[in-house]
Amino acid sequence: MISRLFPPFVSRQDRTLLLWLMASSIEHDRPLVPALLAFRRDCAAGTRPQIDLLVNALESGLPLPSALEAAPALLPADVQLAVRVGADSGALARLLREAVSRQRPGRQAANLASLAWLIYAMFVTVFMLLVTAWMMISLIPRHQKIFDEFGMEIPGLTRMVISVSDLFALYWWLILVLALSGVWLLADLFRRPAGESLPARLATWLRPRRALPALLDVLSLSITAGRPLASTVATLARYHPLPAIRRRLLAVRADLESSGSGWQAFRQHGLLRPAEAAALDAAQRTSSLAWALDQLAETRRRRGRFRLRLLWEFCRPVLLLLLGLAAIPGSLLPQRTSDSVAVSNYFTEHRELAPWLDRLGLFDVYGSPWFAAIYLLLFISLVGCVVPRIGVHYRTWRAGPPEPPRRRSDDPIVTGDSQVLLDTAETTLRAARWRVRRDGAHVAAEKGYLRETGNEVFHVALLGLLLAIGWGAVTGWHGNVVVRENTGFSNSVSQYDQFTVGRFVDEEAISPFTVRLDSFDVEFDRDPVQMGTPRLFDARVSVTSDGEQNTEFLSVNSPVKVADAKVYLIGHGYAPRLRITDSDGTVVFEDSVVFTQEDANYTSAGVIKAPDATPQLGFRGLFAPTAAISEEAGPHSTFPGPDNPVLFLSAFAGDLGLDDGVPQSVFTLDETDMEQLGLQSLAPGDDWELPGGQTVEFLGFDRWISVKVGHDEGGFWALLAIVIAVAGMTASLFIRRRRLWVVATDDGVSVAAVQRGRSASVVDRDELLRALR
Amino acid sequence: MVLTQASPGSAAQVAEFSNTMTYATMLVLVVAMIAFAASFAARRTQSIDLRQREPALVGGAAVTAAPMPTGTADAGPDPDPDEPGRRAGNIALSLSWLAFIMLFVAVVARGVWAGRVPWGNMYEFSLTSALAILGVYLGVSTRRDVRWLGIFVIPLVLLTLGLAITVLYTETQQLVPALDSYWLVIHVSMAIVCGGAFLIAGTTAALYLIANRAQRPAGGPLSKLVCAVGRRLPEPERLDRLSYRIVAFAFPVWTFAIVAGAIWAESAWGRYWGWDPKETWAFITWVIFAGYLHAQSTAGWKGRKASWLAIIGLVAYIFNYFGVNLLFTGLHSYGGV
Repeated sequence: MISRLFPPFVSRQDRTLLLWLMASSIEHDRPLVPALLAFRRDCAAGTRPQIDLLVNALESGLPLPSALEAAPALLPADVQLAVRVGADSGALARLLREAVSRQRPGRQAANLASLAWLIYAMFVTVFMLLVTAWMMISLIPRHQKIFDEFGMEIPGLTRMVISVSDLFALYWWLILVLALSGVWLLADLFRRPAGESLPARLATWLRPRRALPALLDVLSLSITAGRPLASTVATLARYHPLPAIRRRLLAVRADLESSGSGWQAFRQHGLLRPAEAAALDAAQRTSSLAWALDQLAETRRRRGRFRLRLLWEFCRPVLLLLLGLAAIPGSLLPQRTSDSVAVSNYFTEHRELAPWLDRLGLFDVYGSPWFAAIYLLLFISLVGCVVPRIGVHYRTWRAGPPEPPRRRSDDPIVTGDSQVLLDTAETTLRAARWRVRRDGAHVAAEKGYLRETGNEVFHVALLGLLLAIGWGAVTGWHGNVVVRENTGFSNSVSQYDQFTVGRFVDEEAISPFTVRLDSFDVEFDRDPVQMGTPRLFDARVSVTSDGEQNTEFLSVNSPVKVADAKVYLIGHGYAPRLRITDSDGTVVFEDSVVFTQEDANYTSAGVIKAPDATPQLGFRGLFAPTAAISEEAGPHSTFPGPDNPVLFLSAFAGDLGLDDGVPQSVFTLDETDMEQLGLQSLAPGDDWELPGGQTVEFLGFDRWISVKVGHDEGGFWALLAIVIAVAGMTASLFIRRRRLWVVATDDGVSVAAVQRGRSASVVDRDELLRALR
Repeated sequence: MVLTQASPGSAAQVAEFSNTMTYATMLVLVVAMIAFAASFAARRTQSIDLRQREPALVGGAAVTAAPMPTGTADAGPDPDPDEPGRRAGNIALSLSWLAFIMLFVAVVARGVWAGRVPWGNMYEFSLTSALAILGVYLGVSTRRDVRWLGIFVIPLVLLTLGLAITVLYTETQQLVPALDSYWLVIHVSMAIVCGGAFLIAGTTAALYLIANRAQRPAGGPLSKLVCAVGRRLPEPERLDRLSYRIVAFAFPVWTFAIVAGAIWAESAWGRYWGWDPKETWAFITWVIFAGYLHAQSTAGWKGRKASWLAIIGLVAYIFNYFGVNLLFTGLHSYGGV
């Protein structure tokens, strides 16, 4: 089975020798087995087992065609078919001779051996991957359980492995698919025309048309050997390995027998295109049929290869477009990563649709497997394209400027002593930093290798960018927290309102520090033209880290570094301070409450809950730093600074619903079991006596800031990668690859220029001409 | 004038001066457009060129004998001073330069009035974008003869200016604190320059499609129009090359604009990339133009398909500006309409 999937490699030389051997044995009617055994001694080691198979089959009495099937790797499929045709018609020797003469270079890819190795390596990789996957998915979790049961601390490296295993368990199918498509693409890259590699076989099985060139070759062989078409077709129809082709050939045979309509029968049964059939008919009339069949096979092969290359190259623009397209829904739909509130709103608004969109991952597009699949495919195609290109580029760079092309009549000529002119050309070009190779009769010069280098650097750097971003994601963490003046927070998960952590991060081990907001200064411009523009925006924070306390200034666009984290100022607002006294005089609430900003002038809204009051009290509040009331807007603020702070309160009494067990947001008030008591506007220092005898005092306000704390290790590397990428891209876009040749003629030199790239430029050539003349 | 609510004072006068200059620029541009139109209408139609080229295409020897026709076409301005309509084209080009200077003064005045770089809201951004489009066009015109392009570019500049001063006009000078950074200068100016370049590249790509269509005989009335326009354009290959050059120039700049934005976002919002709608569409634009550059070096994509990519890329850029600012709420939606 394995040898069928991965036929051992038999060199072209061995194949040719074997064919010649068989042909001469049959021609002279000598037994084949002794000759084969003699050949076995001289042939390559990899060929020997196949020869053994063949000899065994022959000795067991099988005819040659069937025996050859027992050793499938010895001869290409088309030659095997030719042997069939020959054996059936008695012209085996002639056919084999023909096949020998056709084992010419170019038919086979040069690096068959390296391909075999590549495929072998790829499959070992996949196998290893599968084993690892199995370990990751089933072994390690069990292992972890054992550790857990013994209450032991898991070492760091193991923890990392476990994190990887979790990732695996989630996306094993994706990794498998990607690995397989990687094998497919890489193998296809080194595809060989004989059609023996696994992907090529698969492709042939999927598209029988791919088998046609080989079929045409056999037809050509048999026609050269003087066999009638009908009997060849009959043999092929019996023995061709592909059922689809067999079926069609049978139909063709029937047609040939009934009408003898020639090549049109092939066309009718979908084996040839109309133009091809017509060409063959014409060739038959001029008795150049074998040649025409050869040409046709070659054309088909070339077209097939061209199509594969097109597919390969088409891949990237298509994938790029697909990536762009896939990014669109993420900008149209709310995303969990940026606005989880909007997502839950969407769920309540679109009850039917939202769960479906969620299943497709459309609320977390950029983390979804299909988005990952697109960019990973893109990167695979990128690797598949760039790696061989690096090799090719290195070789062309090593090889230096190529030989001069054939002289064209319009190449400019400089008359004079050719050797002197060549010397001048060489020194001039070398001075202009060309790569120059001087032969006796010509100077070849090339420049602009950096174009291709830049291209490769760009693509490799993009891979680096992906790695850096990935590294940042698994090793980073970040959290958001709101801090009022004179309060603080410490850097631990429980203190954050929201916390995201990478896979390889130990939540317990994040650096401990505390941040306290001492004061927050904001100044707004009062100039009428630029009214309200913030001029100063400064938070003074005390940072305690490693037992050291420092005072730092935190503002927008200038984060504060603490330990291995950065603290960012994201937003700010007002937190009115209230005191609520029960009817019996006990203070049931005294604190500042965070209000969220509603408009550019900091009209802020919030909710105050006093669960300890009897009855429980709740307030909806609107705070305006510079209050105004208008018909349309109601109470609002006209300036972001606290020129005339007023708190508008709407009081409710009853049951706050906090004891139901359903978690409530601090920004919402459930009024279902509450009764509205009234509305009141309060200036700082004012108090408001509620109908039940309770009192609300508006003491003043604090400011709050919202802070993001984050740790990211990938950012620097991502920046480095993208800078390198842009440098490479710029080189590849603006450097032009140019070639010049100065060739000695009878009475001087001729100068030829070729420029690869978008437009031919003769500037270099003309400059050189000026130097020579 | 639009600035009715402005308080008296020298600052308001500067703003008013900026607006007056903008209107004057539009006036000059209208005249330039008429001149460009006259110049374009007078151009030789390409059917004559085609006939001239035909023998070269048929006879193999004739082709090789011509000393690299593509090279000379690409190397510099068209040397033909007798081209019909050239005088009108020269007048139009001079007027465009005048308009560029006037608009530059208007933008600077706006900046002086606001006391910061003049791209803090959509009005100012559009104003500066118009300057950038004009700038890129004139920049190209110093290296290539692109008088034929004027009739397509100037209306776009006028449209941008018109939208700016009527629909998008705002008096607000407020900057959200997050915008108050030197990155505003770097990041936004790069984006604006790219906008100008992408617009010109998209226009030439569209013209490539027209010129390409015009090489076949006209059928219906619409295709007659297309052919009438297309036969006055330069050869399609030249158009294709021009849009490639411009994209090749703009693409690294665009990449740097995104990177600068990412660095800024890192210091302002605590992450360098967060798939904010603006970021997403910047990425989409990047990806499309990356696809365009790839396509230009891929056999099956060159020409028509690549040109469509450039046009789609331009649409993505424009959507990123208008669509994202007006339809979505995101971190970038502080532009102020």
